[in-house]
Amino acid sequence: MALVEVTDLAYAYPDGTLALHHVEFCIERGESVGLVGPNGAGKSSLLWHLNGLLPAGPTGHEHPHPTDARLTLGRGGVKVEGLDAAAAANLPRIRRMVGLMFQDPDDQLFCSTVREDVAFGPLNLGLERAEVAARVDESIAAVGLEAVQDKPPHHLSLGERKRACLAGVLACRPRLLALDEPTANLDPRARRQFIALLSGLSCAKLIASHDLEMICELCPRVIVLDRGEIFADGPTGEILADEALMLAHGLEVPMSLAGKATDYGIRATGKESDPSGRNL
Amino acid sequence: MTGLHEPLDRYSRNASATWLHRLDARIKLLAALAAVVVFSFTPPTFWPAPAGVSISLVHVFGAIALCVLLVWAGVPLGYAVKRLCIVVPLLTAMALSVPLGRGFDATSWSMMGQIVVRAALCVTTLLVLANTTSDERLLSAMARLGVPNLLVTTLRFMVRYQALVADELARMRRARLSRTFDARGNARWSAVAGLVGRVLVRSFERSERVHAAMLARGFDGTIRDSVEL
Amino acid sequence: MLLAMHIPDGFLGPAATIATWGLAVGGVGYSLWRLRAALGARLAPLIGVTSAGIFAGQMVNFPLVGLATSGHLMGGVLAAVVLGPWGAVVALSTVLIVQCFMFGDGGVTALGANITNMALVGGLLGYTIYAPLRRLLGGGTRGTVLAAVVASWLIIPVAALAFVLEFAAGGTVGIFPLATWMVFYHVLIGLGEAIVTGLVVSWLMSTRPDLIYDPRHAVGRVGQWGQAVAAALVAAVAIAVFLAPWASEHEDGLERVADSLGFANRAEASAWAPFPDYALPSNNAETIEADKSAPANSFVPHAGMVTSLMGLVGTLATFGFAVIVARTAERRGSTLRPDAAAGVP
Repeated sequence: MALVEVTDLAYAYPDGTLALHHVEFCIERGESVGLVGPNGAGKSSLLWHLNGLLPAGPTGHEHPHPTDARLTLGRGGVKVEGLDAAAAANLPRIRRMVGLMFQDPDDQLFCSTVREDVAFGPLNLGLERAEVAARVDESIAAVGLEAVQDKPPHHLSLGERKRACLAGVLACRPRLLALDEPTANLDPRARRQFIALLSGLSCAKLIASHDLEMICELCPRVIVLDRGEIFADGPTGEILADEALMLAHGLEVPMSLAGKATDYGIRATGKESDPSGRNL
Repeated sequence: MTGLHEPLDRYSRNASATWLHRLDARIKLLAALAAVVVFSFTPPTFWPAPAGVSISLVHVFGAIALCVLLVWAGVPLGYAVKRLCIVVPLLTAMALSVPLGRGFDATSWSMMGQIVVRAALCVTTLLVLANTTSDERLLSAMARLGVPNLLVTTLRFMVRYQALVADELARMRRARLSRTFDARGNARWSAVAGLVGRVLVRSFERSERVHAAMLARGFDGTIRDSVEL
Repeated sequence: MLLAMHIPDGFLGPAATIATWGLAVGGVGYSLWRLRAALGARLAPLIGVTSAGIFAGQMVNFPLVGLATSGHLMGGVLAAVVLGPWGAVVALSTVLIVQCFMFGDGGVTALGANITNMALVGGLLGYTIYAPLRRLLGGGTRGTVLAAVVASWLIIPVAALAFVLEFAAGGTVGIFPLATWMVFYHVLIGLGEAIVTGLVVSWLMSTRPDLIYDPRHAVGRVGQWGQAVAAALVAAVAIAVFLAPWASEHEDGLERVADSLGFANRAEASAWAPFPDYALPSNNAETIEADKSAPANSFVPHAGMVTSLMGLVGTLATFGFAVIVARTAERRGSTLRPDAAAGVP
């Protein structure tokens, strides 16, 4: 049984816009998968589904506020470790296994200090306070934010906030990390730090991003999503190097793969070890 | 009222925190509340100042005490004065209600003066409180003093996102100005109304994402205390 | 867009302070309770973050034609249009608490009065004008915008009047001279609030109409009846509570204070007022006759009693009217439901 099984997932807003349509894929334990596609392809909606944040069927849990009406049209399903995300009773366990990192770190860092924020997940798991403190220390150390852990999030740089989000998710010890644009808007150094951080994690990852170079580095497998449908699912080196496919879906062949037939080495990052070679 | 949109607590995170910074926030909050009540309700006839000034000595000594506290807390007096310079004209404008309500005679002016003095002292009291106590501590002090948890949590979210939304607004305003050349009258008002609408919609959408982010980390409706972890 | 927006400390007497704090605590507590029933755990993030948006929206400057200053939105009705009555009360109160403690804008002792004027009067009372009117006008963009415009215009002088009552309850000033000024001024200022609210609501209707609060879609709604009646009661009690201490303090407290301070005779103030006899309509002639024997400076207390009664009767009459109008509108509206309820499964 795969870690995550998505079968015939469809999802639409009530105005008729189809966000996802007949989406099917599996993710194995420890696998790293890239999710690429143009803006509005449905990448974020898909990630939200993995965490049961969007109801996966017409009978999904009721939302009390009228604006949530737009979140109630879905069908098909997501299963995490065999648990159906459509059943509200499974949601706590699913959310424990799938750690979702939001695109905007400010959406996720809602507590007054970084430390409190990292503690939010473990506290909700109902752990002992000593255990919570240990996990918080460990996660903050893992992302290297010891120095700023008592600062409020708005005093942090974007790179630090992204890492704080990651710490908050890691503190729940997820089996799958679902990351939404983890490197967007980061400066090169912060981006490099973040990629190094991610490559050191052993859990399964699903990374939605426009940063195709990062996908090349971190993910041996990639899924191309456009207009809510999957157009390709396979080895990163093959799919991202397919120029016609890339252009058709608002993407471009990453520099590191552009001259693939003759030379892998046109990398802008220079002499740094070339993990994309590992992925090919 | 632009000046009032700058938070009071510029010095609440001073690296060289004084004993006033370290004092239990509950004590500071209660003391500030008591001071504000005393300043607000002491009549000028109670312990009156000599020389025919219709003001209570409570207010005079209060002002001195506040100055001492500001110095102790390491808040530059210049900052406090600047802050008061923004507030006092507004207070005075509002206190014009007195002569408007009872006629422009000497008594009205003196009553108006008393109101301005009281209000200025209370603002200074809050200045001391805010500059020695960070927002988080103030909120947890409120919670521990019995303000309902639900309200304090709502306040926490407001405090956390207020600066962020204000930045968002400033960005949108700049973007609009860079595209507006000579809008006047109607066009300008509807442009500004669009700005207000967008700020509201964005904060509403953000509130939904924040809630989703909470659910994603196992939020089940109870905010658990994360103090001293 | 209100001169008396944020009352600082030191303005209100003890009676008004206690009364408004009582109203504020009761109003916010009840609203939180109602809102928690509807939103559950979503309450804190939803209202907290949206409050930040309302706060930012209030900061936006509107150029006031012909005046050197610029105005700000009070946003009571706007908040109620988006969040509903209870959400508006909690959100506006949250904004006021943060402004008070973290921005020094508005007093601590006056926080109760500020919450009463802006959250309870501006938001809740504003909603009880807006909602029935919107139903009467048949909903839709036109109905929603028009109802928001009327409600936000009316509510500004009412909020100003609430300030006058609270201020006068301290016994330093007479209600009528100040009320005349304030209501006149705020009827004009309210036009600005109304135009801006209308523009924002029509912008919302054209971009995110799903964000406009509709009681029909809210879970756990107890009919609009309950809301209207509750709001009417709150308003009536508010006015009665403000006026009672005001009227009673005049009997002894004020005069004692005024005498001890050597303040000018109350009668002078009344004589200075633009419309000194406005307080006593002609059909109350008997009251005046009865008072002829009384000394001149007891004129105001009696006027205060009359005002108090007039205020109470006026409020109740207005709400009675609103309730009748709204009930009629709802009967008519119920046949129109299918086309209006589109968009929600």
